[in-house]
Amino acid sequence: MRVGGANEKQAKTAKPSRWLRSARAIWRFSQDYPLGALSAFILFTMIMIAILGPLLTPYDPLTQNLRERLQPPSLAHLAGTDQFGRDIMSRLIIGARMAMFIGFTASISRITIGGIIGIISAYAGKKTDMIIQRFMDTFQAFPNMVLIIALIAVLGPSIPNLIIAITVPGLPGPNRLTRSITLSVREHQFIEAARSIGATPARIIFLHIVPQCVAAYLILWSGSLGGAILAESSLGFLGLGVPPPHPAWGASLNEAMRIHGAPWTAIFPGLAITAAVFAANLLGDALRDVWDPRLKRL
Amino acid sequence: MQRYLIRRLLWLIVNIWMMVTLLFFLMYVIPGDVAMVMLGEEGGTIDPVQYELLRERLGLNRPLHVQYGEWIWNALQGDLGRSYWTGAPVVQEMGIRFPYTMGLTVVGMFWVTIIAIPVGVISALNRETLIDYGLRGFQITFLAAPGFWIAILVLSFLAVNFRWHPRIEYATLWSDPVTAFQQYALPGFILGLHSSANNARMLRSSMLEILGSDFVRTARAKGLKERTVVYVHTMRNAFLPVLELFGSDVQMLISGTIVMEMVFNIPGLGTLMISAVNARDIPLVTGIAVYIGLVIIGVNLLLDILYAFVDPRIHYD
Repeated sequence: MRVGGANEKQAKTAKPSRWLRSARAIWRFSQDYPLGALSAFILFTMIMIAILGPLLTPYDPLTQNLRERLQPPSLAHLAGTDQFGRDIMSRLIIGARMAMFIGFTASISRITIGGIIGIISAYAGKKTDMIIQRFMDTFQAFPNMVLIIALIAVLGPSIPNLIIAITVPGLPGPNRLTRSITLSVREHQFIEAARSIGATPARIIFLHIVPQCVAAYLILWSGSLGGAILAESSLGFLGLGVPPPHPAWGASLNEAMRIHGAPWTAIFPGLAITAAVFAANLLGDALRDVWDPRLKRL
Repeated sequence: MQRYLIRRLLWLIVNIWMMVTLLFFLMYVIPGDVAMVMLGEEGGTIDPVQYELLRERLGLNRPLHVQYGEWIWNALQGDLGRSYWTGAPVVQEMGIRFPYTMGLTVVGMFWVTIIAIPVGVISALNRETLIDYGLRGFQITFLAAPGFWIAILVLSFLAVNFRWHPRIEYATLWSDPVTAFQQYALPGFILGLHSSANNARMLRSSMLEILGSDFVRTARAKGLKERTVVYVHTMRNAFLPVLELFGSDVQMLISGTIVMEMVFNIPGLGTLMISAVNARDIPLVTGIAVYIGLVIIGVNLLLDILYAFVDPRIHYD
């Protein structure tokens, strides 16, 4: 009993210091990886903007005001107005919702589904593994955009379909990574020990193999996020994204393509895409350096 | 070597079969009802007569294994069906468009090579200096900035300041290589920026890894000139991992072409694919995907054979 009491006491005193510790950890991270910290900050801001969306928009993103069309950036319209007099800043803020939502869901489902396929494939071994991997190779032979567009063609453009279309071509990468991790982990003694005391394959996979993949999973996720955001905006640009008039970054660029002499209509949506992808890529690099020093770029 | 080549060629047949099968299931089986998709599901009211007619025309009213068998049989004979809207054979339509896409991809690859190698090497040799930081800034910027955005900005700048607009007609590499090269120079350059950044990054880290290895130290220790160490000992070895990127570069470039063609009005496979999607012309979309898949499989085959010659460490088993 005394021991339990002591533990409780310790836990109580440890509570404030845990905050302090994580604050210190964040501080250290931003000292060691300033670019990584900046990226995390950009992504965090974008997520907040996406969540708060309508609360932040200075104007209604859909209201046309032809008298104010194609105004350059000013204090009233921070990013100027488009050919219908709509406030570009407001459209970017609402566009962030779509980019972030589709980017996050598609990248998470990419690595989760791909990762699960990889683990199962490696654990099953033999013929199953061979067949799954050959099909994954075939997937990988396609340029991403070709497969995404083909899927959109049969599924039709809607938000869930966009997520599916962006997810499917991204499965082979995570599959390959978790497969190779599983193959190496499977040979360790603790797996043999678990098996010899009668653990089921499901238990071994979830308790012993999945935790080994977590760091790789997060690194891969952040890299995959950039790709998913880029894919979403490319589709929007091609007119295959979320149907208009819903604001999307890529679709704004498509409209801007036909307007000459009003560079702000193109500059700001493109900057938004670039910043999001840039942040996702650099965060991935920083996470890789922290968790997987073997892969650290010199 | 011969055994390797034979195995590789047999593998090629399996590859093609798997690709065609995958696309058949992806495009005709999984989404449920292609005929419904093609007639458009917006209205909700679909004329049953028209629906049955379309199903018959696409052969969707037959059992799945018959459809699959016929699809494979025709595909292997080079027949990918007919475009639903124009009625022309899909292969014929793509034959007209492919040279433009290929021209753009080849010019893009040319730029990638020209940009990536000096950027990567100079960046590595001037590690942690201002030059390196600048070049790395180039790398991370163009990895993130979408090519179509850069293209729009450049075109808008050229239109306003020089009254220069994208062409309406393009030459192909077959008909007039010199003109084609001039015409694709700008779109190819923008197209290649992303892959250039990627390759330069790879080359930089692979150079640094090799510069730090034992045999380079030995080379320096025995008094070789720095130039010999860099050009003969380091660069040759640093290029191998970058060469491996070539296959994924081609994929990335083709992905980019689809979007870039739209900005520059190039009548290639990309613009064809987009208009096919908008017209819900599923046979044409599938055909283009098969076509591009074949191109990639071909490129990978060539690369594998090239490796076997370049790198004697590759074993043929």
